[in-house]
Amino acid sequence: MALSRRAVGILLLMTFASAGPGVTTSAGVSTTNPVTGTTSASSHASPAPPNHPTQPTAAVRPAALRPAALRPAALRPAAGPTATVRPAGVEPVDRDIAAGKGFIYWGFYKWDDETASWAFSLVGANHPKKLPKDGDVYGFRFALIVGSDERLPRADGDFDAICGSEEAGEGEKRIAFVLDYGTQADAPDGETPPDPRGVCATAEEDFTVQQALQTVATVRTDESGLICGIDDYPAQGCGEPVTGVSAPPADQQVALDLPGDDSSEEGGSASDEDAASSPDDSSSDGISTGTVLTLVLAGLVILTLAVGGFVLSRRRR
Amino acid sequence: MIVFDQVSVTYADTPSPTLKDVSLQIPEGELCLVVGPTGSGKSTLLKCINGLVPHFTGGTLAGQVVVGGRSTRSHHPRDLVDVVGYVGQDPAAGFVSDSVEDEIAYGMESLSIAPATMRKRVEETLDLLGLADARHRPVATLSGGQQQRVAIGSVLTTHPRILVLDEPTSALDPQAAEEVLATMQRLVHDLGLTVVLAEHRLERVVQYADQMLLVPGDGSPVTLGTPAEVMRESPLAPPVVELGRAAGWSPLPLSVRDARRRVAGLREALAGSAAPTHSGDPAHQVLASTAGLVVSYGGAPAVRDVTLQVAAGEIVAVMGRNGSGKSTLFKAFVGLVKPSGGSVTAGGLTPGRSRPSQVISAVGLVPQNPSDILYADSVADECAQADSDADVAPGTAATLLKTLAPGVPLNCHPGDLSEGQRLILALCVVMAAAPPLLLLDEPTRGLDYGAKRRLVRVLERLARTGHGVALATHDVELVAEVATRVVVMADGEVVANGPTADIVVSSPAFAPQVAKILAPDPWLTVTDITAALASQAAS
Amino acid sequence: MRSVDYPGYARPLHSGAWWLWGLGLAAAASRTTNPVLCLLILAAAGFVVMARRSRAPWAYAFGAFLKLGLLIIAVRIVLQAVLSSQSQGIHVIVDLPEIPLPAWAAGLKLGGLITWEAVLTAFSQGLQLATIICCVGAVNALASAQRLLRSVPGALYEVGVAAVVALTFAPQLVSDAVRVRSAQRLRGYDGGGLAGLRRTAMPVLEGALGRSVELAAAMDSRGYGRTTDVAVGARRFTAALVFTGVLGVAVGMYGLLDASVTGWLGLPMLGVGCLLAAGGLVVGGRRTRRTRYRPDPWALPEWLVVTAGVGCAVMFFVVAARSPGAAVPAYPLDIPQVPVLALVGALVGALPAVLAPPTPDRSPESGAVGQAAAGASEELSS
Repeated sequence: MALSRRAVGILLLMTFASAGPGVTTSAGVSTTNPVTGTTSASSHASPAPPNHPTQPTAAVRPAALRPAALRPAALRPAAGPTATVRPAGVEPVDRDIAAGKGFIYWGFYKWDDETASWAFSLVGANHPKKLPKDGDVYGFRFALIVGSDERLPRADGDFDAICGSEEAGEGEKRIAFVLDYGTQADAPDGETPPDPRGVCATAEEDFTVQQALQTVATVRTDESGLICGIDDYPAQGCGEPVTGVSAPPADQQVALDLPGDDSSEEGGSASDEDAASSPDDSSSDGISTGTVLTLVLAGLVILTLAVGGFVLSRRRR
Repeated sequence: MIVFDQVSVTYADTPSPTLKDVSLQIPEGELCLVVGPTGSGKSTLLKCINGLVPHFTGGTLAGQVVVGGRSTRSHHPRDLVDVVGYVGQDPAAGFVSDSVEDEIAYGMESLSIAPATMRKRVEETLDLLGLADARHRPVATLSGGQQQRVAIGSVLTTHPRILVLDEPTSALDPQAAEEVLATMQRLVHDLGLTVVLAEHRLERVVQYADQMLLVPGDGSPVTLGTPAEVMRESPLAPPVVELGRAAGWSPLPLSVRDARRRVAGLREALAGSAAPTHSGDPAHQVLASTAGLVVSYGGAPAVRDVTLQVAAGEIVAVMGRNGSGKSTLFKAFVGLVKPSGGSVTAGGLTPGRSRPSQVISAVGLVPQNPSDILYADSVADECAQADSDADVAPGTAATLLKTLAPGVPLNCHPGDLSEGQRLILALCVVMAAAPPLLLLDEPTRGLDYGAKRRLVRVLERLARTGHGVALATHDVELVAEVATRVVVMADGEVVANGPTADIVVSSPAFAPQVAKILAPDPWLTVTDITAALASQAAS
Repeated sequence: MRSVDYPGYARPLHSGAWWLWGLGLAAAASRTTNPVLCLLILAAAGFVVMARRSRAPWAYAFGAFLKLGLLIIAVRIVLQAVLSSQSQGIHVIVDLPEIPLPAWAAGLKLGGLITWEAVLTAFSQGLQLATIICCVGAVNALASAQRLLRSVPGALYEVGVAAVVALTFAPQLVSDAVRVRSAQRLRGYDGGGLAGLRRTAMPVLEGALGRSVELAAAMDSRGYGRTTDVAVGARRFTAALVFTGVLGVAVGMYGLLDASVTGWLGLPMLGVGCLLAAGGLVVGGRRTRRTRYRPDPWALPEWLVVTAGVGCAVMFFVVAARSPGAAVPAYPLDIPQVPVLALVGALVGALPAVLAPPTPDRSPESGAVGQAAAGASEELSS
């Protein structure tokens, strides 16, 4: 992806474009996409009107022209005014179901207190102007989506249960997260989802949702800012299309692992650790002597080549 | 070897034929010099030899040109490469590759010559032309003389029997011209090549020619003969021939050496008169001066510690080989380059720190290539633009042009003027703002004797009317004719500065032909001698 | 073994070999945003340049490319980390006062939080781009573009000559423009603007036109275009073959390098394209009977250098496939991992420093070149 994009773009132009407000990367959103779940979780497969009020202004390229647009648009660089929409191929949804085509990705939801239900978030998790407020609850659900299926977090967004024991200091806010890693049917080959957990982030006032999440979990994004993995799950891939699948069975409500909850001792110790320690601590903990050794070796090689080159150029002058 | 049979050439947009009924034969192994005024059809005649006329230039060719048994009617220039080698006026414009070696091999690649033969011929050619040291160099970095030799080498490798050269030394300084002419002589003597060359600077080449072809250009027929025969009638003649005519010698001398053998009588005749001094009146007001001027390009000084003054009424010639700093000095006077040391003042201004419109009212420079400052569609527009640039009354430049060069058509495109006319037009454009000091960089490049004579009259007139004039030039005859003072530069420094006669008579490089003939007596020009002879006859 | 096969025999390496090597390194760099891996590739390219560059003027191009690389990184950091609101992390470097922007600039911001994550991400991505560009710069410093054009196949001979002429023409135009611009000052003309442009453009274009005519005449009188007669149909067939092939190669390369494109666009397309192009060149080459003066040999060192470049690329492709976390680190603050294979790949990429033959030392002449170049530049600036 990287090289080909470079090949077509003029250097600085490209530098600007990809650094810009997600103009290129949010192109997956197009008026041809059936956008669902605008406010209510039950409005399945209702195509959005061509000029949906919440449609982004930044949909610059028709999705059909761009292979990458086949990937889910959800959690696309949340920077732009881009609505986070459900993945939608260019082909009709029914045909996708028949062909067994789907996507696995992290969906982003906001808990609506009034209707007491999850709503697919129309705003990116990293939107700088739509900052979360103290008391908000956000949900992330990793799921296999076939057709226009709706896969919500399997637990309610109960702020008091998750954040009840936390206190926000001066210039801070409390955000509750429901992290649902999905079922085994959702998982990519060879991976097992951790148990769903609830976690409370006490973050600086001007942090976005994603930044708040980063204070309690590791967040892996791709070059364009799309959230690919939370707590290293899944270990690789980003909104991968999958084929030969059928729609997974309907979800059952589950109980969350909560901090201080006894049940976390058994199932969610890994996520507990992550929640307790900051992300970079966890990664430096995992560093092995082998990694350090190759790193030092690489440094030596770079140094040798650089000094050697310098000496050569001096000698030849 | 070369046969022209009733050849007439007519270009599409001209009413009268450029060449009319030319019939001639040039035998093998001769060096044939083609002379004629600008626009007389010399170049057309040369281009007929390898078929560029009419295959490349268009136009209609009547009659027949046969070279080495092949008619150019049925053979394209590219089919004649093994018979005729043609080198155009600007050799640098004809280069197709980056290194000397590749350039020389290029013609052979097109001819599918075996690699081993190619290799051998390239080495031979490099040796023949003295280019072995430069074989890997990019052609763009070569000097003018080297470029000309590379161009010759690049056509020689296909082993043509005829070499055609269009003004090979016009743009060269005397040293580089020597290199090229020596090469040419070697080709004629050692390889038996037939060489046809056109040249304005007769004083350089006439003594090498076996045959001379005069193309008068006014419709009268061409004359082919030995140089001495042709020179008797030719309107264009080098000073040595003019001196011979003035002294009534027969046969006419063609070289300085010829003339020196017969000079005894003339010397006696001139014994009674003193040579005119050619020096100006030094009491005039100083127009521009430098003090300890240093100009550097990227750390390398091009002008070092030059202190110089130019006064009203004098014509200063700045001489020196290419790269000696002449042009840079002139550019410093008009503020195109800024001094890195010392100072320049012109008319009370510091040119480097003044606006161009202020500078032009103090000092004007006509660049080496006058076309650089011309851009309008017609001569009249050019003059009008000059008036508005200089902020003077409309018609100033046009009036000046009428005075200096009466025949220039005002509705003509500047590009269609002759070299001499274009130079005068550029001069008028610069002179519109009436700068007291006028600088000319290499003004005689490409000018024939007639145009040069007109230029001399213009310059003398400017000096008489109180202007100061400075010329950067290689043309020793022009200097002898017009300069009141000579400044010689070498390596960015002034090495000599004094009245013309004092400097040039004793110098082997800068002495005009007349001075060489009559040395040690300080005579410089044929005009002086005819005047002296006439006054003696009268008294 | 011929003498040209010995790596110790001093001669300039074939330009094509340098290009393939450089493209190999660039392809390797395209697979990773890991700053350590990018630096490894950069160091390898730079070392080869220092060890094997000639004394020609273009040999100093690498330094300019390095500076361009630094500029790219700087621009990228400013745009992405400071101006863009995207992918900010939680490790705040500085919290600038934010200037509100109108709604249409929603993706942009001025001021606000600047985090280590954003700066480091921008740095790695900028470094990757800079590395790719420096790989191309390394080739520029090692090989002359004109020599490469000289070795184009016979069928493309005319195109090659045209390209060489264009390469020499462009700098000439620039120097003409400089000269004419300064000459316009001599008329006492102060201003610039459109009128000034015309004043410069007219003489420059007229001069260029005159020179082109001279050049065409010179080339014609030196036998350019003496080809054996072939039927128009055959010639068009050749041309069609070559250009379809080149198109195929281009699409194939795109397919190969863009991971998101489906499989048939990649290798198969590349193969078909190569075959078509090669066929066209062979067929076309038959019609031009032309010999080459001292053609650059393609011998063992050329193969070795190309293998080194391709080997480096292959190893990085394997690294990218096997350990994506190391090739494209997910967390910018993590200590980057260096797979041993990548380390080996970079070292292989640096091997041409010894595999390529040393450049012949032409110091006395190059001294003359230097002087002449100084003279030329003086002429140009004067």
